[in-house]
Amino acid sequence: MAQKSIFGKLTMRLFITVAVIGAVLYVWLPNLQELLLLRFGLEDTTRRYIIPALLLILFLVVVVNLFVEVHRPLHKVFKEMRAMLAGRPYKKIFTKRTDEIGVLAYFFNEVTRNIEHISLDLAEGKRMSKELNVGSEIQQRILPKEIPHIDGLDLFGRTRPASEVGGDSFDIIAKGENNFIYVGDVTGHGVPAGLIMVMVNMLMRTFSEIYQSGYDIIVNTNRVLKQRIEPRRFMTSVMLRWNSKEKKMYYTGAGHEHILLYHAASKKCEVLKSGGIALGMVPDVSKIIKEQALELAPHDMVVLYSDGIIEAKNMNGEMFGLERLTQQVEEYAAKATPEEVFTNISKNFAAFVGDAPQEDDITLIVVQRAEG
Amino acid sequence: METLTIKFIEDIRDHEYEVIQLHGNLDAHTLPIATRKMDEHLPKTKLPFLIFDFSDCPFINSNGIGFLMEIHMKLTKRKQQLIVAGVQANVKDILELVGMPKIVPVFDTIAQAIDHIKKRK
Repeated sequence: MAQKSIFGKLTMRLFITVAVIGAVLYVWLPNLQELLLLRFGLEDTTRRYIIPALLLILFLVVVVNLFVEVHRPLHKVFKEMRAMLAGRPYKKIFTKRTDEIGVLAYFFNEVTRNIEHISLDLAEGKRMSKELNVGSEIQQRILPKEIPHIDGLDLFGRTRPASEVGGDSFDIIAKGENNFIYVGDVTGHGVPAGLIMVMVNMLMRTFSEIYQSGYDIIVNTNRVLKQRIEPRRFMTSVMLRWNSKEKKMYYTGAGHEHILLYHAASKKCEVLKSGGIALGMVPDVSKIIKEQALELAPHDMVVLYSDGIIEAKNMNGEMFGLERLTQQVEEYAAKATPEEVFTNISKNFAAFVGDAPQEDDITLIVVQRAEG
Repeated sequence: METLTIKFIEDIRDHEYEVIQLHGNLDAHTLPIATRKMDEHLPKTKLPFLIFDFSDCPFINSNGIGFLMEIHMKLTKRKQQLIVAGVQANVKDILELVGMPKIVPVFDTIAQAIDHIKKRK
């Protein structure tokens, strides 16, 4: 059975050495003394020669054992440790020992193995973080930075992803006569949702060049999108169309959250179902969705949002909720610009959620019909 | 820790439908459990109608809806139909919001779902 302690091993060897020498002397000492006296004429040999010789032998035994069992193996371990600390190449220490040296060697091997894994993870993490930043930049480029001018409307909106790359999107496509404003929310968040968000953004923009109604844009976007996403993914959306010539507002719902319609005259918010079906659920939505007119008088507001806002929870687990959002629109919308309404709701939202982490992407858009 | 259990109850009289009872929320946390159970079970079931019983499922989010849509697609390819029943008010609201009842029948009770199946004969 392997020794578990160097001290024990060395002590045992010393003991055995002393025992063997003692036994030999016990048997042979008188003969040895006689031999030394007769052969070499040496007297008092025990004190003057034998004991010093024995001490020398014991000393050599101790030194050799210390060298073989302690110094040499420690030297090997420290050599690799010094190499690792100096940043030079080092080797794993192979040993079958289970004593203190064995433990030290095993510890070194484990530490260096973990350091190698951590280094790889850090390098991989850095690479992924870099790629996520690139993905985030691409998304930021396609989201509207400035709100374009649309005749007859005043509007403001922003989106904030929960992670570097998000699944919420909005766009404002100002084309003169027919202008489109939409908000979209892909299932989940992160990179997969972000890729779909970018895809839909491109499709909506492209189809807005060809079609003049929200219905046609949504039907065709869905047709192309369905072929390219996994069955579990879908995107809810609602698209407004403002005809600046007719001064009429329309909306096309695709399974999105309710639309809030604030009436300036009554100072009350109407909560409308957006209707339709989410994009990506079925190949053909032409018989399921429709574009409908929205009664929008001058100074009336339309508020579009993603579920990340109403489903956000504070530290007590309480949800922000649709009712709270509706109340805040009613509170702030009178005699305020869309940007002011947005800012006030945002401040309230931030105060409500406090330090609770943002778990979903959030988007809020406020659109007001101008005077005239 | 959130969990979800699923029980399968076959219509042993007419062999027309199977009720799949969900006990727990259907969201991102419990989705792996639901996926594993259905991946094991779906290849074995040949009955024309599968009724997902939501009586004991108080919450569903977009992940859960995506899961149901995937089941719907797989069943449609095999000429089987997904039916959702026993939905609580908040679950029903969420399903209606995304438009799911337009493609998958949704009923308030299991009895209504079974009645719907009988009438289709």
